[in-house]
Amino acid sequence: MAEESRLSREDIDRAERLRVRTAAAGRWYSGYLVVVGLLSAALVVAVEAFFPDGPARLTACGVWFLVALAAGWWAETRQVRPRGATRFFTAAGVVWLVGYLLLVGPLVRWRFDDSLVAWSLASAALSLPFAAAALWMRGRNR
Amino acid sequence: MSHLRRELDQVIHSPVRFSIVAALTSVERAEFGYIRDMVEISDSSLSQHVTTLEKAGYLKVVKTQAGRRAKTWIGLTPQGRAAFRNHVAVLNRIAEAAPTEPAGDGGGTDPEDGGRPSR
Repeated sequence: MAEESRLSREDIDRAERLRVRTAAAGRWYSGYLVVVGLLSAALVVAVEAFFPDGPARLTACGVWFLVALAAGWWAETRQVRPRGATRFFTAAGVVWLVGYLLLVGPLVRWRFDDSLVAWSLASAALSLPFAAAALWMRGRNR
Repeated sequence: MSHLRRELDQVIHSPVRFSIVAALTSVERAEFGYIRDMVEISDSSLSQHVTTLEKAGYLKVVKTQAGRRAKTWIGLTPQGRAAFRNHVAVLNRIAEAAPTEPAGDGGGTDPEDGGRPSR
């Protein structure tokens, strides 16, 4: 028991190396957040500019859902999830959804209808929370 | 006045558990197998240490299903993070209070034999 409780200098150095390696193993999440942001932007442009009405709009939503599902499944296969991952993802998702449904979406639809340029800019702006979360997490888990 | 070693957390002070907790400080959760490989211990040994940390309220275990495969995730609780921070702070305070060690001394902190600081 005494041997087990003895914490040597080497143990502490080794633990620090483990901490650094585990933090590095969680860096994939920043890239994942960027991909989710791009997917969200693609959805907005697809359903608002390319397929504003008709069955194509529903198909675009279905395709996006399948791609998002595949991305989520891939994320679940990773062995490490960095600190704050769920919190940052949820916050970015809520800001995106609220912005799209209540603020940017209605405003752009009213002023620019289905203009590709307007929706491209709007979708890029809407995806900024994902980019911000990715940058924040990258700095945090350095 | 009591020696600083008495403030060391006996649950975290074991080298293996110290490594497990240190590895988990920078993540929300990690897969059981990943930590087992990182710390280089067997499944049963990690399981025992995880149980000890879980009983102390320092660690939470979550089981999920990924396709046909069951996955076991482990992550620190806020209490576990606080305990690790406090433990490291105590080690640092012991190191600061220690006289200069002669060269070649392996060092180590063992609360059972007087809590000789390692750093």
